[in-house]
Amino acid sequence: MGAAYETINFKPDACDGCLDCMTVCAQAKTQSDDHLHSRIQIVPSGDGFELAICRQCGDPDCVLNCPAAALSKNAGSGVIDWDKTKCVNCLLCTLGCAYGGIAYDSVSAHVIKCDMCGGDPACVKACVPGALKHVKTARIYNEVGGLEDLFAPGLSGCQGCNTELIMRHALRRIGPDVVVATPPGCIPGMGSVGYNGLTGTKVPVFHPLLTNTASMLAGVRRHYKRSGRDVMAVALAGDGGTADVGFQSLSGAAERGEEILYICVDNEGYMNTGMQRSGCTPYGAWTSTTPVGERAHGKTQDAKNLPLLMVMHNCAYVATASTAFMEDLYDKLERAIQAAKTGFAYLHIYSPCTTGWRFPSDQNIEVARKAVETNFVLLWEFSPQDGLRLTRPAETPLPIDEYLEVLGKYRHLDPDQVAHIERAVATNLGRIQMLAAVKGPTGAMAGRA
Amino acid sequence: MKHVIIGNGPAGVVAAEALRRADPAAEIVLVGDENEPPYSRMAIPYLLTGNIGEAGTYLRKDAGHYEHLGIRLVRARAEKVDSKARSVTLSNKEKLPYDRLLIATGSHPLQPRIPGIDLPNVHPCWTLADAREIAAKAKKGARVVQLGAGFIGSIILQALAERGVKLCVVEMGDRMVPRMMTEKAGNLIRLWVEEKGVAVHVNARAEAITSVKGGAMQVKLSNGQSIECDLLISAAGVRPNIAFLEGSGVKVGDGILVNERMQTSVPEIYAAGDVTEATGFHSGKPELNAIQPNAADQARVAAANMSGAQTAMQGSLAINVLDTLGLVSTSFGQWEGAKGGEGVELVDEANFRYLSLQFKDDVLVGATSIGWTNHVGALRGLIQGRVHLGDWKARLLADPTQFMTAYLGAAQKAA
Repeated sequence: MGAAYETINFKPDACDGCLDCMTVCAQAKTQSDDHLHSRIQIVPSGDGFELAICRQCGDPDCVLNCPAAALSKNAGSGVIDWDKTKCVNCLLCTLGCAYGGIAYDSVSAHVIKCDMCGGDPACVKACVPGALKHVKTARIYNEVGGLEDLFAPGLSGCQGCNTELIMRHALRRIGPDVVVATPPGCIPGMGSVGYNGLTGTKVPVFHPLLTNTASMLAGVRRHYKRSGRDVMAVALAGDGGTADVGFQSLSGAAERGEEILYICVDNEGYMNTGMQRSGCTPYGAWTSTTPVGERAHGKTQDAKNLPLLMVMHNCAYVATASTAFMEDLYDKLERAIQAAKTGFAYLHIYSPCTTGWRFPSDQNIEVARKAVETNFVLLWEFSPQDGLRLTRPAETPLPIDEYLEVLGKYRHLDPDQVAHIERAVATNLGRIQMLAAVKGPTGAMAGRA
Repeated sequence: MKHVIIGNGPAGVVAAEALRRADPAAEIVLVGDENEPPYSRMAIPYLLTGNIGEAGTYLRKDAGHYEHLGIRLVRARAEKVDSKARSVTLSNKEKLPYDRLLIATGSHPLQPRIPGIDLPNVHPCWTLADAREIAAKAKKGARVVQLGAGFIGSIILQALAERGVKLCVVEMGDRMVPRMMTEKAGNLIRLWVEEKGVAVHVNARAEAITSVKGGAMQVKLSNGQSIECDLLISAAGVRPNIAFLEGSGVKVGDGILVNERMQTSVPEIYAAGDVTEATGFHSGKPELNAIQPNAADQARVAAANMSGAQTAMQGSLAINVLDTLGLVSTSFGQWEGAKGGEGVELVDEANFRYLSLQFKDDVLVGATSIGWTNHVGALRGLIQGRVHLGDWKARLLADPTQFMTAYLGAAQKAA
């Protein structure tokens, strides 16, 4: 498997054309203020600005054309390295690059190109408006990209399904020493429990009732523990099976501190059986049981805050996560896996549903991102030792409309309903911030005896 | 699958590596007839200036590169291709069977038909062996005549000048690099090199070379002048190496004729690099285009098709860059202008800067630049991408130096 690399990302909309990035680049690389020496070039274009910089291409034309092996793709950093001692100044590379990424500098009398400042780019640090961003998400790919996907290929999820992504990533990180429970819902529905005696996973998987997922897992974990084997017990369950039908056994297992990792994949309804409402369906949403017509206008109650309920069980670890924020998701998976070795860990992962929420199948990650950026969904984590902590700042949210307007299930909302949702979002944020303000082990939430 | 590649220049090496990436199990044999590891002729001028040693010209520098990739290097000359029996006969009498054959034999320097061209102190500047001879003879103060001021001639200039020889260049055309530069640009380069102390004769041919005492020679020019020199370098252009293909059934014109997949008239035989006469990007007709970027691109496409993929070249585009005694110039595509097109020329003789852009409709089809060398790759991007410039065309006609901005504005934004 190839490696992924860090990169410099440019948001033209945020660029104000101050050119500070070019100044610091020229200073860092040639101890000069002359923008001619800058490896990064900001160029006016129409009303805004565009960027010319080495893209550190995966299949670089400059390297292909270099007759002296002076340019090479660094397998470790991903940077296209230029070796002055090998360069024969033929300048063919400058012709090959249409991105303006490598250019002849007549003062230095050789070609110059971005080297990412060894992983700490000066231009990004100098960019006050935040148009330049050093994107490091490649780390996850490199760390887990080589791990085995423990689901079979070809699951029959809907096009653009977020849940499939969650399942595959979670199990990849958890690894093969696991028994998985998938109660009725989309996860077994798309084939993870398998057909005709064959499973859809490469690890033991079973199909409990909606009601007894956590209690069965508790038994599985205890059995393996007694026989001296460190096998994880993991639930991959939907929000219906978790918040409503399965809540009794979940609450019991959490209260007893069973060593389970319970992952709730929250698509805000019983999507597998025909998109009925669940306790996690938000106010105003259309579902097949909260229809939209002359009198009905979607769900009339607010969603219950399931992850917060789990905090009140004083679990070893509770967190919310989103596939739009993968580094955050992986950090939380890691901590949840550790916590489940000695106690109950609960992960609540939001999973926008293209079919049930009615939006284009290529927009899933965008919808997940907007949910977080509008504070409709808050990303936080909790442990009894450290209390609750927001893992993504929520101070400057986007207007809620930016999230609601992309979803078919909210198309009918009237201004009063939108106002209700705004209030609910604000209330939820207020509660979470209040809990986050309580630092460290607090009386009510100190670890169990 | 057994792949045989004849020729170990850039095209051969790039193809061998690409074949290995595409097929880890294939057998790959790379045949080269020079007594050196695969090296780059592009690096020879740098070798002559003493900036690098011979090892610096090697195309791949890490030890064991070819062994590591399981590429077998064979040192021999290919003498005959039997396309019925699918085998190549080598000069060492070995017969190499193949499933797919790539011909990347490159080109050889054209030897002008001049009496005395076979004298011992007349050399082309093409191989490492040539470079060794030139290095031995082009001592400081030596009198050197160079025939030809084309692309290759112009890059050797720098090396020779740095060695401190007394240099005189003879070019048949009316300017320097007449086949890649406009009249103004070619003359600008000529002025530049003359200022640096190089004598340039344009519109002149060598008519005879005669030996005088002590290995020196007398070169008689068509303009009536006679120049005495110690070393004569012939840089009169190159021609594809195709003689060995006689009787093979591979169709040739001036070079090997190939389709857009770099396949010859014999389906199992492919060709890439200088040896080909491939479809031109603009003309759509077979053209000789002996430049390195073309060789590398064609080699990649040939290798992909040889390993079963279906990949097409979008036509070979002439792109060149020259560093002539510190003056950097480039030329692209239809630099001379397209029929029914428009162009703009910006000349700054005092500062040795020049820029010409040529359009057909609202698409850039060719360019020449001297001095303006920052981000020239954008010119290639505009031409090769056949980017519709729209409003940008008028802005470029008004100020051609804005080509990078135009590229970003017209191509990158659209993408």
